[in-house]
Amino acid sequence: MGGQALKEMISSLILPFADFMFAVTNAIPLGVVRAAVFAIIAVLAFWVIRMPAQLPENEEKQGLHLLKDLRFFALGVLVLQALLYIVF
Amino acid sequence: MKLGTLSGIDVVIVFVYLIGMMWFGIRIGRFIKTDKDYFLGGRKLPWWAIGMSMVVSDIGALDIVGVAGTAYLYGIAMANFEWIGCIPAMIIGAFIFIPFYWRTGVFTIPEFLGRRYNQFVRTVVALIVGIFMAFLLGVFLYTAAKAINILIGWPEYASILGVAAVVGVYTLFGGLAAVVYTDAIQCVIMFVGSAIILIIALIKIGGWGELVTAVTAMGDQYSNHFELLLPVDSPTPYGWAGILFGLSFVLSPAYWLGNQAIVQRTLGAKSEYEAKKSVLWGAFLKLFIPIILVGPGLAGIVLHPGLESSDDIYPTLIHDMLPPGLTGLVFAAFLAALMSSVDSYLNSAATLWTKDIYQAIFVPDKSDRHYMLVGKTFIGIFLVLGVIVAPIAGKFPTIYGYFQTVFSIFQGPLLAIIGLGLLWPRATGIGASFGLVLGVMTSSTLFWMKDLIFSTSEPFLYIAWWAFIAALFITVAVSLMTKPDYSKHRMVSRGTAHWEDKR
Repeated sequence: MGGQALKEMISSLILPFADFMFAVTNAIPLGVVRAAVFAIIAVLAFWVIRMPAQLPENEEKQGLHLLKDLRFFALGVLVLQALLYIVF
Repeated sequence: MKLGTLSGIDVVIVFVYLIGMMWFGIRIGRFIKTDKDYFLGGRKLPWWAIGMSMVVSDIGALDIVGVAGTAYLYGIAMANFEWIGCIPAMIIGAFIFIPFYWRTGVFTIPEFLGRRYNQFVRTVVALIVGIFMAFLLGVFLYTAAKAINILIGWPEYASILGVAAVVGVYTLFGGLAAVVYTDAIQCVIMFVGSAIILIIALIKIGGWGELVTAVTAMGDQYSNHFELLLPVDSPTPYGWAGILFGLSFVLSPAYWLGNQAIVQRTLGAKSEYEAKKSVLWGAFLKLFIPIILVGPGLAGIVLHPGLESSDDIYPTLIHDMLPPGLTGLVFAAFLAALMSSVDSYLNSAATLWTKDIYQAIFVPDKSDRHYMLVGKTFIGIFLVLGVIVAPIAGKFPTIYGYFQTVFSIFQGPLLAIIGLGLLWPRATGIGASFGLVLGVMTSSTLFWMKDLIFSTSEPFLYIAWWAFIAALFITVAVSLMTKPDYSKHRMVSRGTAHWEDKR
C-alpha cells in the first residue's frame, strides 16, 4: 500500500471524530471560553492561598510574612494576569 | 530584502557588546573546577539572575522575530503564548515540580525520569531531546542570520558562523554560570531595546488608539487582530481550543516543567526557596513580554503594510525607525536575545548527553574533571550540528511555527510521563516506556497526515494535545497491567538531604 493510500485510510478512521470535536468546540461561545480562562486563574489563586506558607528554610513559620512568603508573590502575578485578560 | 549597513557608532556598540560577553564568559571559567560548577553553576546562582535567564532563554531572537512576525499576520492572539501559555504553568512548576527536581539533586530531567522509572525512559528522553535541541540550535542561528542579513547585508552563512563562534566561546569556558549571568545582562538590554522600538513606533502612529483604528480599517483580514481569544474556525492556527488545550494544558507545562534548558537553571539556585522564587520572578517578567513583542508586530502593519515575509517586520522596524547609536543598542539587544537561547540550549544539550548518555551508559566512573571536558566537547559538536541544520529552518512558513511544530512532537508525551511519575505512585517504568514511545509515534503520525484531518496548516497545538492524551492513556493502561515499584515514587517525592551523593 502506498504512503498516500495509507495516509488516507488512517485519516478516514479519524476524520469523523475530528469533525465532531471541531463542531463541538466551534459551538462554544467565546464568552464562555473567556470565563473559563478567568476560572483557571481563579482556581490557581485559590490553590496558592490554601497552601502552607512558602518561606525560606530557616524562617519562623508563625505570623504573616508578606515580603518573604512566595504565595503573595504568586498571587500578585495572577492578579496582574487577570487584569491583562480584562483589558485586552 | 536588504536594508543597508550599520553606522560606525552602531558597529562599535555591537562590537563592545560581543567582546564583553566573551570576556565575561572566559573570566567566569576561571572559577570552574568540577562538573557541578560547570553544569549547575556550583549551586550558587542568585534567584534574580536565574529568573531573568529563564525568561530571556525562552524569548530569544526566535520570539522577537517570530512573535512580532506572527502578530503582524494574526494579531494579538500571539500574546497567549506569553500569558495563559506561561504564567499558570510557571506557578504550578514553582510550587510542585521544581521542589521535586531540587530535592532529588538531579542534573537533568532524563536523570529524574530514570530514577522514577527506568534507564530506558531516561535514555530515550535524552536522545529525543538532545537531537531536537540540535535542530533548535539551527533554528536560532537561522533566525539571527536572517535578521543580520536584512539589517546589514552580511551573507546568511557568515552570520551563522559568527554568532556560533561568539556564543561558543563564553558557553564553552563559563558553563551554566556564564550562561545565566550573561543572560541577566542580555535580559536588561533586550527589555530596554524592545521597549524603545515599541515606544517610537507608537509615537509615529499616534498612540495605541490610533493603531487599533488604523489596523482594523485595513480590511476584513485584520478584524480579529485585537482579539485575544479567536474562534475555532479562525483562519489562523491559534483558535481558542488549540490555545487552551494544546498550549496552556500541554505545551506550556511541558516546556516550563520538562524542558532541560529551562529547568536546569533552577537546579543551580542556592536553595529550594530561591529556586521557587526564581520561577515566580520569571513569571512576573513574562507579563510584560507580549507588550514589547506583539506591539511592534501590530505597529508594523501600519508602518510597513504588505511585507513579503512577516518575519522581516522586526528587523525592518529596527532599520527604519532608529537613529545611529540606538540602532546599535537595539541590534545588540537582538543579538543578546539570540545568544541567550543558543547558549541555554547548547549548555543543556551538552549536560544531557554528558550525564544521561555518556556517563550513565558508557563511562560511569570517571572524575568530575573528565565529565566537564566531555561536556565541553559536546558543546563543540552541537554547535557544528546547529550550523549545518540552520538552512533547513528557512523552509517553514514562519519560524515560530517550525519551532512549535518540533516541540509538539514530543512535549505532550513527555509531560504525560513526568506528571504521572510525580502525581501517581502506581505509574510503572514499563507503562512510561510504552507511553513515551507510542505517544511520540502518535504525534508523528498526526503530523504526517495533518493536511487530511486538520483545518489549519500549522496544527501543532492540536497535535500536542492529542499526543499528550494518547501517552496519558497508554501509560495508565500499561501501568495497571504491570507490577508497580512504590519505592521509586517515595524516593522522588521525599528527595534526599544530601544531594551530592546522588548521580
